[in-house]
Amino acid sequence: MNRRALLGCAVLAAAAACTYAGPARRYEPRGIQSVAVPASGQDVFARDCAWCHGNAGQGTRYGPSLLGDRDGGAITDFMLRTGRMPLQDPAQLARRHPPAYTPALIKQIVAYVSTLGGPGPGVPAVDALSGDVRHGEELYQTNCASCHSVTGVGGTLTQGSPPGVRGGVASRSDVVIPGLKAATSLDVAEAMRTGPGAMPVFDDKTFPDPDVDSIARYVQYLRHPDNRGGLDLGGIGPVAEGFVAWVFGLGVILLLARRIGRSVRDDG
Amino acid sequence: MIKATVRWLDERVGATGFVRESLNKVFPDHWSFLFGEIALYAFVVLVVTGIFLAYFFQPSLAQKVYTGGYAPLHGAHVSAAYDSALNLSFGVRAGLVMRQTHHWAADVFVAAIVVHLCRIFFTGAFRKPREINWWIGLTLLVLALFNGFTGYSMLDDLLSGTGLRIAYSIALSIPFIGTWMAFLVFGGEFPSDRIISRLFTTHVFIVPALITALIAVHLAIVWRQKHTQFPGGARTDRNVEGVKFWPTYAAKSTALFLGVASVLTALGGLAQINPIWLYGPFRPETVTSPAQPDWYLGWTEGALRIFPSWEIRFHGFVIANPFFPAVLLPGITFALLYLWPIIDRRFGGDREPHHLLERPRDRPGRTALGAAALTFYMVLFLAGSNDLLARWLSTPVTTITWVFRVLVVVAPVVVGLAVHRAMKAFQTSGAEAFSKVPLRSFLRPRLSGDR
Amino acid sequence: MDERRDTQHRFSGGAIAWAFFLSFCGSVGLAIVYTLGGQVQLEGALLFLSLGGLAIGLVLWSHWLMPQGPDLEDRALLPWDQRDEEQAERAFAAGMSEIARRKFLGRLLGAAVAAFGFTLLFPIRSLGSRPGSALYKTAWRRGARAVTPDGAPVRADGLVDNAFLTVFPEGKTDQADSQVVLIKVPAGAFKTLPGREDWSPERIVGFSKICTHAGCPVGLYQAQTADLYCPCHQSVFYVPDGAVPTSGPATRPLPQLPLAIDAEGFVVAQSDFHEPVGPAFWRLGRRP
Repeated sequence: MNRRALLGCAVLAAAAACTYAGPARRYEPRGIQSVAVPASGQDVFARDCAWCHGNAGQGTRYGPSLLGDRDGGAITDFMLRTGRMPLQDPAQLARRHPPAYTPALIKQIVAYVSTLGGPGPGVPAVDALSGDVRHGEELYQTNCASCHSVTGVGGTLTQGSPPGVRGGVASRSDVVIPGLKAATSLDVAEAMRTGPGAMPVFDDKTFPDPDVDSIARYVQYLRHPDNRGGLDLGGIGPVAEGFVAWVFGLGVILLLARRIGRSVRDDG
Repeated sequence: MIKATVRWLDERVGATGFVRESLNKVFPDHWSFLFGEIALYAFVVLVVTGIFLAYFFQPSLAQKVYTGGYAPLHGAHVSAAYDSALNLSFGVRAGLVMRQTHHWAADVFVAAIVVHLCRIFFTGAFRKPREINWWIGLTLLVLALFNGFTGYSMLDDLLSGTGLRIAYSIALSIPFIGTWMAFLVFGGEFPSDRIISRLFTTHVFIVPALITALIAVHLAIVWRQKHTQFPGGARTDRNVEGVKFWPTYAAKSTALFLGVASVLTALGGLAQINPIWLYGPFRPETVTSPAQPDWYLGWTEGALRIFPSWEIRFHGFVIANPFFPAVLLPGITFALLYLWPIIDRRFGGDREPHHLLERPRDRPGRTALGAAALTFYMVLFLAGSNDLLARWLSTPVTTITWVFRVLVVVAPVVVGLAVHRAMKAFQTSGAEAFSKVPLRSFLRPRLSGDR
Repeated sequence: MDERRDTQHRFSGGAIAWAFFLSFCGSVGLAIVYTLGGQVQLEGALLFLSLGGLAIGLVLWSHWLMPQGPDLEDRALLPWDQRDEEQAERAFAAGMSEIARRKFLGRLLGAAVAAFGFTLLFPIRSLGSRPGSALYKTAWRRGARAVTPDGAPVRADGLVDNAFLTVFPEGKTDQADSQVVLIKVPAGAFKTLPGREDWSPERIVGFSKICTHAGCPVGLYQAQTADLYCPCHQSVFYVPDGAVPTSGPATRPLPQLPLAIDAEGFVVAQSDFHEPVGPAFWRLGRRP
């Protein structure tokens, strides 16, 4: 086997090793198993949430309290419906997953958490269809695009949450700003009103409900944007375009040139 | 009929002698000699598509209300420039394929020039008598970079507007004359109402005229001096080996042109580039992330990102931070490139004319230096996407930036030394191809020969 | 050896014919697509077919059916003919001596041409305006209300903890240099800065949105760490300390706008910024 082939195999193996993420993990609740099938929101809370957030939502060394300014029905609903919660492990990152509970059960959990006393907003009412997509575009570019990108593919934070925000246990900071390709209008409204994670808060006094409707409408557009120009190359702009220009543009042309011109080997 | 035409022409311009010579002219046809032609044909595509675009584009910042077919902006206040660009994309038949082909062609044009420059560098084709063409070629590179930037900045969209703001700030950072230069170029404080039409005039008239003139001189000189060729076989410093212009070389060259055009148009229709409708019109308080310029400015972008927060201040005067990565670095880069034929002569060259090329292994020092330089700029290019890398590797961007700060110094040295060792081994082993060089030559190159 | 023969493939004519035929189809297809209204991907693919078919056909033709050489040609020596050069030198010198004899006139000619050349540069000045004090001022004035880009004024009680809003002075939403971000810093993170004690009523702070590195809008606010983050070159500004740069290439903090709350509860500015906004320039510290 010649040197070039060996090197090629090594590179491929390294790439494969880096990208292999392991088998997908199914959520398995921790905590007390005294209730075999949860009967109510409170039961689920006791089983899946209290070990991290405390029996009364007061917070523990593993996780934050649920009684802060923005805590209440909206953020609970957001976290559960987008599957960011529950976590299996305090070091786990809160990312979008398929939800662990049925919509009906989520409603019950939200209702229970609301009784704990967090003063934040309840689940908002949002109607994307009554939003103005043009105004939504304007608001989105000014307030959302800098983090979530003009194409809605998301972005990068500098360092995510600092270690220690969740208490003494080491928690990995998440530097990823999520994309919006899977975001429903309710997701948008809830996130704006409560500012989950590193996100700022866009309250109803500065962004009244019609503005949220409009932004939600534009975000729904971004989930299936007009890509009539062809393949969208990931929606990340000139970096991807440059790569394509070199590999599929000049690269292909060089192959043609190789075929057209003579090479040293042709000299026999 | 051909005879009659030829005579008709000959009686008027007396060109038959030249025509006969040209038809029989021999062209070396190694495939690496085609890089310059690739750039040339990309330029032809740029001009053809550009003319079409210029008939529709309105380089004006006058405000108007967009009433075209793209719903999310219907009713938005935009500039006439952005409005006409949207119209080209949505309302003009074949408009979007022309616009995208034009943009892909620009990216490939600069890439081809860079590859061509590398070939010239690594084979020593810039040596006497070809220094003039080296300088013309470098100037063409600078003009291509400039036209690329002005071209995509004309559209007054969010992303290119951000780029213009950065360019303005870079101009401001120049000592003594910076603020004057910025205000003169932009016609006032950013964002002036004149910059778009100035970009248009520069991009459509001035620079293409300069590029065309310089390409003409560049080709005339190649024609006159005849192309270089690799040593070997029947090739000497006093002859040219290849194929005759007519019919073979003309056919191959035409085929290359059509091939370049076909790839560029394929990209133009199948791969979306610069979707300005998603970016929205330029509003000075808006920005997106990730935010990068087109690829050929990625090196200055990377330099701006990883250069430490240093600034020079004294008595109220400031040499601002962007000056070093965005003015000094490119200045030094191109100064060294322009001076290269002279530098090369000082270190191991001579004053004789050369028409035979050197193989990279014949000049290990130059090859190693070129490889080190390429590594340096490639690290900068990668650094320009540090926020994307941070996201893909789930690592804080500050860590990524520090890695690049170290790499940009260390990697060129390591690569340079490795390439030097490799070229020496290649040279002394006398092997025909690099993959055939025995391993021990790399470890003890000096024992294999006396050089 | 460099012997190359013209290779004749058995099916050479066929392959070339197919290439040209496909190109022909591509061109016809293009005409049809265009007439029917056009479609971007079809246009691109058919152009690829038309041009690519011709390209492939020509490549194959030139490879299989045309003479491949190698042909040799002499390379004429470029260096000069000594006699030619001497004659040229003499011709030039002869003409030059006519001018050189008249030293005074020659010098005057030189001076006149140089003067005109120099004067020709002056219209460049028409391209722009004097920087003057433009870079030192924005449109913020005492009592100017902060409004959103839509023109809506901002009530202080409308901002909750971690609120993040882009504002302009009232009536000046087109003044790019006046863009400001308002943030309500939570009590746990808020600090009173010396000399700026009354700049942040109700923990509402205002900073210039123009990055002091290269001028991009500092559009990202990371609420958990109270960091403003610029997406262009990754400068990070820590808000509670006065938006001082903690990472990245920026060297100066974002200028802070002194705020107040007017009688009706709207957020207003106390004055313009106390320093120039945006990136640094040569005379940054020497305001005229």
